[in-house]
Amino acid sequence: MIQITNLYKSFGKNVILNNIHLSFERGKIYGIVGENGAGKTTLFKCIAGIETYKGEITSIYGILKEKLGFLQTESFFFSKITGREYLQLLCVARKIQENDFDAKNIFDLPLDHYATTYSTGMKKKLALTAILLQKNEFYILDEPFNGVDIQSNMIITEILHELKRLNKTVLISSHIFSTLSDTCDEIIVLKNGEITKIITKENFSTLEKEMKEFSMIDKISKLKLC
Amino acid sequence: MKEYFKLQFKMTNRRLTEFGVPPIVAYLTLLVLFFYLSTELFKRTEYAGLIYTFVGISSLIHLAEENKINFLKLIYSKIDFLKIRLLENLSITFLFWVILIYNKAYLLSFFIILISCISVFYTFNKKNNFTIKTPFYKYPFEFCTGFRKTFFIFILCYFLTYIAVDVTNYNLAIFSLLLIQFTCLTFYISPENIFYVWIYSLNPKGFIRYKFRIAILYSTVLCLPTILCLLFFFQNEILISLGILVLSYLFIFTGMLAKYTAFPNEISIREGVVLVFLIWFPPILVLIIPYLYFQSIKNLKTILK
Repeated sequence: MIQITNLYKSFGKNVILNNIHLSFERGKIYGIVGENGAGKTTLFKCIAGIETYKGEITSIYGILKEKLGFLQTESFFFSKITGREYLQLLCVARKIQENDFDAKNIFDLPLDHYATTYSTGMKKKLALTAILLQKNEFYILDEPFNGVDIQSNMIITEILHELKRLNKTVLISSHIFSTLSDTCDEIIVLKNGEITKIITKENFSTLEKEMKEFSMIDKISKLKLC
Repeated sequence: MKEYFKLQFKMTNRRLTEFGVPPIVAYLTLLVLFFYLSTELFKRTEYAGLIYTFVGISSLIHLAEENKINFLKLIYSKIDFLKIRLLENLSITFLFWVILIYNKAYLLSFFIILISCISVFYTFNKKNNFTIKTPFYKYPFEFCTGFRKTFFIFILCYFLTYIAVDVTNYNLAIFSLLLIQFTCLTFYISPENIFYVWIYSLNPKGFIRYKFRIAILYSTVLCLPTILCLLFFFQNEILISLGILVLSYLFIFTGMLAKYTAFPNEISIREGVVLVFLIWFPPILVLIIPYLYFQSIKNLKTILK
């Protein structure tokens, strides 16, 4: 279990996250939604320990980062590193001996090509494969479905179900509501750095309706398209 | 077109200011350093012209990077695009061909100008790059990526080692060794993305030790041919050679510590000055290494628990 208590983060006077209280249980998948700039990525970075913060994050895993697989929205790749070397790097960093990357290359990536030559979706799949090979207990997936083809999207959805079955904890952000409703047990709504709602599975359809009504009609009319 | 060059100038100045050096000081220092190194090179080896041409032409590669070229093609007309490319190429190689003319290497100078003009039509396409195999797969990433970016320097160094043995020039062999180790040092100068430190299940001390072990192991692999030649063909200077080798390891270690002291930011002017000072007065390493070591441990504690 991971417990976040009274988390606060600001950059100078700009408050990004305020009064965040959350708890994540084993064997559950949590979604997080919010407009661009709501603070989702900063929250992920705070949980990962990449950003400093005020407040407390505790977990049953001791040093949380050592059991955490963090898929970033846009993973950074060195300009001359091959896919295979990237996987090796992430395994070595966690002291995991993995000799047969080809057998576990479920997305059929060209592992001996430079990762920077991969398409957006391929990069995402490479980064995801790497954190799965690390055998983590807790996964943060920031926009895992972005840029990924339909078949791979289905594979990722199945992977999420498998992780749940294996009693892992997963926290996902996505701007595609259906991907969250298909996989999550709860959805957290983040607005201007604060949690406004935590929605359980039976109320997902109400949340989707609310989000559509809020965002669509008025905003498009402002463009005065002709 | 004028705007493009003004913008380039502004961006360069910003980078220098962020590094902590007033641009005018940086330009003057680089100019003096360039002339000093050029004079030394032409004084010390008869292959200076070739080395010089090689370095000059290499400097054109990053100007022809695909994304940049595509961007320029999109925003400028064909004529303006070609003018920009030509001006950029000629100005980046300007000092090289002037120095070559000064040293009466007219043919090489003409060659650099010719390549500068021809490469206007060339794009350095990263995607078509074939993958260079390296022996550094087991512990990525510094040496895998660094070697691929600089492999031509190692070819040059091994060639210099061969020449050194052929003409029994100990200094040239040592220069070759130092150039290899200096290139390895550059693998550790730029800070990596914070994610690549965060991923390690190591505390700061363990992390620094791990990185140092890899640096020693892999830099030894790269300078092994030169070391063996030094030990075999210059036996009277074995102790000096080994001393220089150990010193070069310490320089790599110091560079790495300086990076993690400033991490995740670039090495600042303070660490930069310390590194330059060390080259002139290496004994101070005894003080600097422990200082940078403790500073980097302290700094890494925020990322590595």
